[in-house]
Amino acid sequence: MANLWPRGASAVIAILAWWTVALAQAPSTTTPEEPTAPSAMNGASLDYFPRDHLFRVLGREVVSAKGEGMGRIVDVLFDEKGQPHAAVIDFGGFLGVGSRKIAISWSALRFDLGEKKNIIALDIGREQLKAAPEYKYTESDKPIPVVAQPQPQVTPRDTASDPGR
Amino acid sequence: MGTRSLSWLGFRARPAVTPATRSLRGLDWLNFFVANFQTGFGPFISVYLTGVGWTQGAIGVALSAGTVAGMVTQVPGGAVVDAVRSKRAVAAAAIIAIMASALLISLWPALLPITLAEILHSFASSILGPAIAALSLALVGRRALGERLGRNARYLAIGNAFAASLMGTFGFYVGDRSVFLLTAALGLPALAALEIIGQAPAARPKPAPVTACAEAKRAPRSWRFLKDPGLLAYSACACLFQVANAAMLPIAAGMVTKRAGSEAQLVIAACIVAPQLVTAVISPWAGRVAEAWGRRPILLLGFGVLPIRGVLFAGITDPYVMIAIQLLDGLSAAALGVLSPLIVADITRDSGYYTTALGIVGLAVGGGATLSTAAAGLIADHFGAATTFLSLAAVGLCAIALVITLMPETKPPSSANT
Repeated sequence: MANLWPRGASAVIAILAWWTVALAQAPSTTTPEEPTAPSAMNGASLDYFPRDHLFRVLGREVVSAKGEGMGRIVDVLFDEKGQPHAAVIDFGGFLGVGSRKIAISWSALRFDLGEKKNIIALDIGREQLKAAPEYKYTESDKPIPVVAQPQPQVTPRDTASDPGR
Repeated sequence: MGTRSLSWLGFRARPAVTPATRSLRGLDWLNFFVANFQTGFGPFISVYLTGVGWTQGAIGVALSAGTVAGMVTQVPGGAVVDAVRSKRAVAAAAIIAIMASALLISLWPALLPITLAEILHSFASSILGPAIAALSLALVGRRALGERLGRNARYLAIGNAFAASLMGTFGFYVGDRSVFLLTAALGLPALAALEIIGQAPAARPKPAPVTACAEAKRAPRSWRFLKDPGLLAYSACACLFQVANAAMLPIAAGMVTKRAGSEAQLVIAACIVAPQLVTAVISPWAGRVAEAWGRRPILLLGFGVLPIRGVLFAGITDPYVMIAIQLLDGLSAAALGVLSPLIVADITRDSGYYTTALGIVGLAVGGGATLSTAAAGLIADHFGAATTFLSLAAVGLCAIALVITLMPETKPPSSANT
């Protein structure tokens, strides 16, 4: 019991920690497989898209018209036809405390993905969201509140003059 | 500082005293570095998992597993610490387990590893807290325990404030994953602190003052403490306190997000960090007063500010005033942080079940906190935040009534305490 934590073990842990950090930060360098012959798909077709053509949205950051971070998309709500109708966005919070989820109409989001821009912008300001009711994941019977823009077409200049930040 | 803590130790005019001082310093640092072990695993994990594309349902599953494991493991965790002879070894194992779960979360964010990591973290936490309390008791003896627990609470609070600030900064500027890597990395200085503590008891002179721990080793273990009305009463008080307390900060923070603009994150950060500073300042005082006057005055102070906080939150909407109200939380945290391990030490005495009893109180506290967030969430949905705060304040009043009517003074008479 004299030496509970020998120096060698500390060094191993330190190396492991360094390695895991390096692993976590290293970009994925594997190249996608070359398109295979359609025959392998038993008749179904198979297409390959470049990485900057298709995007996942869950967990993506949403920015204001000025480019400030506002929140994250945590869920997408679809209508009965399978079209996306609203994004559930998690606003605010510090280390997860005090976050607030609001469903925002899909039409209020401006997507500018690809070409390394990767921007999802929200044309509704913070001031306008203050009174918005929270979206609850668990409530089954109540209607779902969805925040939308006053007019379907708002030019970016209008939102830039929003009294909120 | 050195001479005073030594006189507490009962070492009279003994010059070769550095090892004991060293190990107490080590205990300070241990408390400081383990504080960060809770920060990343709480609400932040849902932020992290959202960022890596998890659905809300899956996040709920992983978090519920952690919550359930946190409660189920409380009493077994305490029992493990009681059963193992080397408290230092069991604390080291718990720290390594928490480091492992932090690495698992950062490197392998899939449902099974995350759920396992949450359960592992819960079990290790249920061991680590009691292990540190047992180490403290073994180092200073029962007579100086109040003072020592005050110091523990001070360094834990400073560590909490430090960890929240550091991890908030890392999460914002580097990325969510870095928060867990940081958690794992901060386990290393915690282990080093544990190593420093460990060198002292070996260097301690053999005819040491008879401490509670030494007695406990010799006396046959007895479950008689379970019949002590004090343990049941304190568990009930602590449980009811948490029912009133646990949901207050999350709901207040939700209000801040709603009312404040882009500065909401900073206001919430202040609501988390500021009370820790109050706790850091007053904890040693609370420990001394608990030893001098008794446990009940401090207990009543800690419980007493809770309904005031609830009523103020219900009436005040300015985000910056809410930070000031949160300072009251620092008083409660200091009182409870010092008194829980102290009162349980009073009650269990020589039974040899100190940390098992701590686990029982931990279970009551955990159950109260879970009930609090669930009930307050329901009330907030149907009746709004103000009603929720007032309801929590009313429960807080019931907790005070429980302390006044049920809770005995557990401080041993100073003459009989040898």
